[in-house]
Amino acid sequence: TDWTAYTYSSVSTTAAVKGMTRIAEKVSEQTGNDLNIKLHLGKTLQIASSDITQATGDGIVDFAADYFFSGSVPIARVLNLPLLIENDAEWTKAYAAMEPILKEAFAKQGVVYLGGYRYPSQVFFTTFDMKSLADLKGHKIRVTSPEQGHFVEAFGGAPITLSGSEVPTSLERGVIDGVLTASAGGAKNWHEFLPYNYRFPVNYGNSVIIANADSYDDLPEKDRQVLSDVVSAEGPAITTAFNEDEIVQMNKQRDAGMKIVEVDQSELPEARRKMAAYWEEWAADKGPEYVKALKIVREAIGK
Amino acid sequence: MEVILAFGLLIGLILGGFWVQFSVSTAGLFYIWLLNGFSGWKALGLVSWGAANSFTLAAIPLFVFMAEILLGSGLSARLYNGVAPFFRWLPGGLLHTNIAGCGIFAAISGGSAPTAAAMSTVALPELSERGYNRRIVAGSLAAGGTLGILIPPSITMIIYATFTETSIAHLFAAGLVPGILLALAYMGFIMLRVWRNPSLVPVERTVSSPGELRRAACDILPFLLLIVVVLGSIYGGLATPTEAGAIGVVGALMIATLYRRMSKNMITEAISRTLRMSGNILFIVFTSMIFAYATALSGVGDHLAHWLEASGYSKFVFLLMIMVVFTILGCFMEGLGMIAIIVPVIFPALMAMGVDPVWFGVFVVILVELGQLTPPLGVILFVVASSSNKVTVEDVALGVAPFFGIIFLFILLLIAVPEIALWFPSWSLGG
Amino acid sequence: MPGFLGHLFNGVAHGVSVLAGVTLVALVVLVVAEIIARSVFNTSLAVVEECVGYFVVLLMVLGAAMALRKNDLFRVSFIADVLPPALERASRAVYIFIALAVCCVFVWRTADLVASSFSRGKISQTAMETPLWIPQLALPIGFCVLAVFLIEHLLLVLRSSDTGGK
Ligand code: NA
Ligand code: NA
Repeated sequence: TDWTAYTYSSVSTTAAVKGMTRIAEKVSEQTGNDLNIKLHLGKTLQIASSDITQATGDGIVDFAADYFFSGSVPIARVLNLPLLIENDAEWTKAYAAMEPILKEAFAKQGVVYLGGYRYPSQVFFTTFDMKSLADLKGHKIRVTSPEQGHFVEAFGGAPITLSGSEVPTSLERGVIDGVLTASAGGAKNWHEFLPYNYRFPVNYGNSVIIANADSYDDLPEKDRQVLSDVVSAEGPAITTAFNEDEIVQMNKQRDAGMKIVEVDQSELPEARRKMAAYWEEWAADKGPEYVKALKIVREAIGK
Repeated sequence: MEVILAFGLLIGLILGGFWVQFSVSTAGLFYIWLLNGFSGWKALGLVSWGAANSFTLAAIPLFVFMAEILLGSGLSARLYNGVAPFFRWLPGGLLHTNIAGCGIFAAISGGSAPTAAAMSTVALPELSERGYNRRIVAGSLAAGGTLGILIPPSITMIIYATFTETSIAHLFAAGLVPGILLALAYMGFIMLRVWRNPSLVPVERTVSSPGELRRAACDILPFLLLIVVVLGSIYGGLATPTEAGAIGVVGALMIATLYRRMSKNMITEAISRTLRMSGNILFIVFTSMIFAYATALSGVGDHLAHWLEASGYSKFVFLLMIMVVFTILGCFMEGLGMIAIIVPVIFPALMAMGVDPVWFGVFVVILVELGQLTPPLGVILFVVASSSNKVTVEDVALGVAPFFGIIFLFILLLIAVPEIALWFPSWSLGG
Repeated sequence: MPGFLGHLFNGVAHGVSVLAGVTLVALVVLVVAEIIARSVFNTSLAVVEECVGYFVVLLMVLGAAMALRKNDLFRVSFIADVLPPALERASRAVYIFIALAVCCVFVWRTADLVASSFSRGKISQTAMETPLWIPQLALPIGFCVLAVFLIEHLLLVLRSSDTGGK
């Protein structure tokens, strides 16, 4: 069987693409070339990043990695709420608790959820000297979700939405004063416009690895097993690779002159308190399933 | 094999006089059908949505609207009256304003299509009216328009940088000097051409009196004001390159009001022309992306790139082969799609050969420029042709052909003297 | 084209140009509002990037339809120009049929997309959480309008061959 695979990422050297390539290779090897996966990188097929889950569900691609799935499975956004999940240990617990909900939500989209991986924390990269959240006041920060926008606003900043291709020019000219991203993520491309990095962990972003339900069901049992096993092993490996790359990139960026300030621990409790009310408000606003999901996550991490 | 059939059909339909957009979509549908059968068409919905729903494409209607207001208000005619006396002594006269104008628009917009659309709307009717040979006018506009992606800001460079993790600041700086040199080369060529064949341009009246020059300078003023406002808005950090088009529209409206040229009739006419022209252009961009989807799906670009990578040629031959591959693909693919397909595959081999990634970025951008000018699918050819119903796509293609040669020679020069691109970034940014 | 059909086509064309014109003006106003919000009031409307994308889709299909009606769509005609008139007219009729077929495929597939987005409950990942089937409707509707104007072209070609070319 030949499968078409797609990923949102267009950089062949990132941990995400390397991982997907490994998955394709291992699956074809372990199924004795029964299942061949041809991976297309982001932007090569004219399918928008935010449409990947739909493309997989509709059978346009058979297999995919999707970071921008929250339009299809909005309940997953619970995991990306600012300051709800702050470290690896919390992530592991929260994710394990959410997994059944995610599986069900993806199944409703005609998609089999096979696994996933996570990017390092989203932190502040700015063109102004930022040492604490108080420095956000009056500054324009590009955000990628309404939840991040709420966080920036809560601390006096102005959240700006901007197309990714306009970020570098906008930073250079001062249309915006900063972005929320990871050293191994967007900062890899934009670091030269961003002299300051305040490592306040706002939230995590994660990707899912999915397959079209019909294509998956058509596979023989043993190939399905191989696929599941390979993805379960490689998902965490990608997360690890990202965590390692985060340190490498951070050091590179520091050597290139970026001023990196570690998070001021004393700021966390206050920010957490401020956001806790928002989590509940957010979930109540979206509906009872969200309230339930938030409750499950909060119980899992004891927060 | 499929690619040859699909491309053959595309050329056949276009030459047969079928509407270009429908030729491209027919060939695209046929190509997808060859690859995946009718079920391959399932992808058309999401692919159409992904191709059309684009923030950066908004620059096209915005810049066209700005240019249509300038045209409709008669301000552009006034501008040409203003600049004409200053260009009288130069062989080629106002043709040089096409190149210079494109250079200025290129510094405002991030793409070639908005640059060419804005300049052609203003220049093509005006210069044809004055008796300039319409092919050389169209050719100089098309060639000048492609400077849009070489002179920063440039969306194409940003895309290249994302694929290769190259410094965007260095790329932008590296495009500037080649952009200016290329513009000068175009101007040099125009002078040579007109010196050999003076009938290409109208005979301008003799020496201008100081009073006439003064009045002329006043006529340039509104346009200078507009340029200052739009350039100021993006260099002052108010607007992104795409948004600058909207500032341009407001600026053009303000200037039209200031010079008492505003009328309901002028505005509705400008809107209606803008809609037809940008619909025409957006539709061709859209259908090209459908075709690009099929090409990406077929893997033909991958094959070419892998073959190139495995060929074991020397650096110089390798670069020449890349030129050949880009030129072939450029005939029927849109620029960003070409970068997405080719660059990631051959990039590692190039790095191993010691090619500078910033230099290679400039090289690729110029090749993409070339691709935008090659028939049958050269977006800029269509953009220029759409700005006047007296100029056909064939006129533009024939008019731009000699400029094509200049770009080719310029690429060879860039290979021989890489410092053309690399000197400025290392001087201004270090390293 | 005279009579009821003529009124019909003119009516559709008028509606299309009004809708497209309003979209173009809204595009300018929205982008300018965002620039002002950001640079004067230090805030963002948070919806502009998204709406601009939808407007571009609308401007593409409606603008293309307007260009088609005015016969402005790009053509390379140097071969067609030297064909005998009867052959030229016949080829035009064939082309219109092919274009109609292409439009139908696009209407069909993009309507499928609308249905898919609707049944999936797909929303945009922004503050607006737009149900995506609504802006996506622009595609099938736009291709329908293109098809309508193609039919008009077809009727004109058939009529001109009835009367022997003019
Ligand atoms: Na530019
Ligand atoms: Na081309």
